[in-house]
Amino acid sequence: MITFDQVTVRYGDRPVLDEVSLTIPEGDLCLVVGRTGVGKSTLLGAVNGLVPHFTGGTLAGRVLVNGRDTRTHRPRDLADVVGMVTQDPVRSFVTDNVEEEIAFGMEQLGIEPRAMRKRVEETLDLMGIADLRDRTLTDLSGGQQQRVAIAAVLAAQPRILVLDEPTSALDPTAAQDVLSALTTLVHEVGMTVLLAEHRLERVMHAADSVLWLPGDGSAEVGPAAEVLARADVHPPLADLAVTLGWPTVPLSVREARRRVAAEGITLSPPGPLPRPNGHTERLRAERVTVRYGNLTAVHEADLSITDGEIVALMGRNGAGKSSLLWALQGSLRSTGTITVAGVDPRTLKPHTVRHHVALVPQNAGDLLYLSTVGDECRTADTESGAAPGTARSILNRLAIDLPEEQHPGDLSEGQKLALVLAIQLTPDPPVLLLDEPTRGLDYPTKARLSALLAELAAAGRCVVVSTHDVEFAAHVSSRMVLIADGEIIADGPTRELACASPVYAPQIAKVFTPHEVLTCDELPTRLQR
Amino acid sequence: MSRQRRIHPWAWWGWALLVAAATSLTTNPLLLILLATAVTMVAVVRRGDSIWARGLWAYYVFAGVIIAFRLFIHIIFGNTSSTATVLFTLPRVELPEWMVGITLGGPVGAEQLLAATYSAMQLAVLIICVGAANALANPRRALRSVPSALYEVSVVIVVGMTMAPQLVLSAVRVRRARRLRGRTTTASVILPVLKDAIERSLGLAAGMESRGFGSTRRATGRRWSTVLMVLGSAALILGGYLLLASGDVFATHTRLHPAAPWTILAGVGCVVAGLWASGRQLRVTRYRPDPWRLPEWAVLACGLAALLMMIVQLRTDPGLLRPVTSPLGWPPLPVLVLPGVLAAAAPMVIDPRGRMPRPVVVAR
Repeated sequence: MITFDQVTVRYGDRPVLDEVSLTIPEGDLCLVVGRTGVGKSTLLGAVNGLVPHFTGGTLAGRVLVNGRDTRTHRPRDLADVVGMVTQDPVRSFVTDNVEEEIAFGMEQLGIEPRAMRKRVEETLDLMGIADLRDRTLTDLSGGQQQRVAIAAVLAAQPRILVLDEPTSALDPTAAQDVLSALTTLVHEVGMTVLLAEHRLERVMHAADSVLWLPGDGSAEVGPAAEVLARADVHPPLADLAVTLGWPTVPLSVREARRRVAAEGITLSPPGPLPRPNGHTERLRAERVTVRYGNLTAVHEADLSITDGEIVALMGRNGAGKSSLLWALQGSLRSTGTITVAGVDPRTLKPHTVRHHVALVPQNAGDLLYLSTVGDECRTADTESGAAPGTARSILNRLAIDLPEEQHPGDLSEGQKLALVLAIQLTPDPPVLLLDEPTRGLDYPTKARLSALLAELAAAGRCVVVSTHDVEFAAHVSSRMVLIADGEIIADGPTRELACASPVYAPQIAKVFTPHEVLTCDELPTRLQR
Repeated sequence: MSRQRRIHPWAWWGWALLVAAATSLTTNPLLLILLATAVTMVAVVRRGDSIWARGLWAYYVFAGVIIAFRLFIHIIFGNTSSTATVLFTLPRVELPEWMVGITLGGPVGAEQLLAATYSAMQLAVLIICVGAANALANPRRALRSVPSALYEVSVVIVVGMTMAPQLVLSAVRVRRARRLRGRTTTASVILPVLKDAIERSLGLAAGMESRGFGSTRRATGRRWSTVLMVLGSAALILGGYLLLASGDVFATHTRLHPAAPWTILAGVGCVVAGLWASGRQLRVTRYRPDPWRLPEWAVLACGLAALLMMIVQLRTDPGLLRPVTSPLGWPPLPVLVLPGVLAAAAPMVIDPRGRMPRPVVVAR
């Protein structure tokens, strides 16, 4: 269905893909994996000709899609063969209403009107969004928007669907909805799906094959279980395979459970829960309520966090996690009492709040506006009245190598996050709040972020992280706060809450349930064969 | 689930513009009030629940401001000493020699003030007509039913209308984020917002490209349609000039330039042919377009009736349409025009109950 023949893609001198030859057969769900910046998006773009017709750069070799050469066919000429869903669906919406958005692609292809009407209905049913048909696109939740974006390209009935990180912005449940819609397409309609994703644990169980980009310009395709065992991206089940010495990676929790049962592996009971090591209360919130007009985003939240704690704030898209963080930081209007490091942040001027509490927002890049990394660091020093070189030394401690002269716009998501974190930590605030920091981060970067947060907590800070990433939360946090519909519904040690919840349990916990275990790191000491 | 069929947006615009044309022929305050009432009633009864429909009040505020401003200007500047009924007298400001012809302050005459009110009311009603059209016809839907030659332009405008509110949202987001660093400077907000806008546009362009936008446009025959459009526009401009140069078009005594109607006709012909030729190059289909049927013709006819009655009155007794204010008196009511006012209000009851029809091919 998709054939790459000796394909080399260059932007400037450096080849992103180097003489890649591969074939993806019809009806496969192929997962594209690799670390940040190895060319996953370039490979996906080459499938429908956006690379190089739209992005620039040079492409040598041949890409054949359903028999058509992207050299002679522009992306618009391939619209009836390849459906492309980009990372941020909101940015690719052309109209403002669900039904018109779905029809837009077909209108462009000049599809016969009766057929068009029928296909809109079929597509609405296939993606399970018939009840949303008259809704405005911006009013939908993230998961619904993602499904509308998929429906909008599906309506043109392409044979191939290409998706770039379709679940990265979604909560676990919405991600499952999107994925089950995709598996339906593969199983029932015979669609070929090419999917790039960082959070492999969410999608790998549905994959037929894996395309691994090691980063040197080459590419490797093969059965998912085999390629994942070699690849440099380690979803939790791959870690498990390494820990237990399995030659292939179990692709699903179910498969892992079977292997564990077959080998008769059990776990010793966990040690006592680590006592919270903090003594001083750093952050206290009582009956905090945030309202936008008639909508109550946060309702009477009570929270008390001591130093040394890392709290994971979890909940659905739109449950009020961000609102709570912004309220705690003090710049979002709220009622109730908030005390951060002894003061109410709402009463302070923005440049004073920085010394008490730091917030890294969801779009970390919004904080950057200068033209070099060095300038950003120096400005951060003057803004927070710190000694020259403070921000730079924090950045170096994050062990991420950033040249002084680089433009912040050219940084990867992980590098941007590190820079913003360094800037926000420059005034040495005792409380650190992070809003959805793991979006677009690969496994090694996430591991480094976990280590860094643990280090900050050990040095006496308290950290609150809102996240959809259950694996990250299991790794990093000691305590979990669940929020639903603006109310805090559970607050307790991560191990208890995560292992008890079907939605927020990490995969390792699911494999060994009813034994309580969160990560592979605990396994060596507790394994009993 | 079915959608209620609505009147075609361009029918509402046609009706509103015809009523506006009728309005432009009279300064009779009674007629103006009646026309404004008719238009308002239609707009309030028939508007939908879109965001555009909710903006009707803004036009009334604007109309009120215009009347107030006109009167203010008149009271300050528009005074002559030869007035019959003096309402009150403002202190006169002596202006230097070279500003001869301009008076500041002085006696304010009731007759002149009344005349200024009448002409301000006329402008206000014109604005209310535009406001009503805007409330009744969702501009997004209106743009969806333009000739297919203008299809791409209309898509661009629709996309622009979507982008504007998103730009505001991203500015709010960036400003809030910037406050986290302590202080906010203009550059620190504008640069990320611009970057956001550019990234958004690129994403949208890539999305539209990969969804086949423009894939059915053929490059052949483009030259002919361009030539026809240029010729047609030139003829229309010339014809418009000839028409306006001959004075009040509808009055009995004016003599039209003999070439004017023919030039305009030729211009319209050329433009229509050009649009048709250009539309033939694009083969897009439209999903559930608004149909143009009997109710749409009826709405147009209502507007036309209002205009025709006004023209009839103008030809029989133009004095009733432009009542004199000196001597002061109650303005006369031209009975002949009343059916026209009723016709302007009639779209209130033209309601095409029914479902949205199936889509049809509009260009091939």
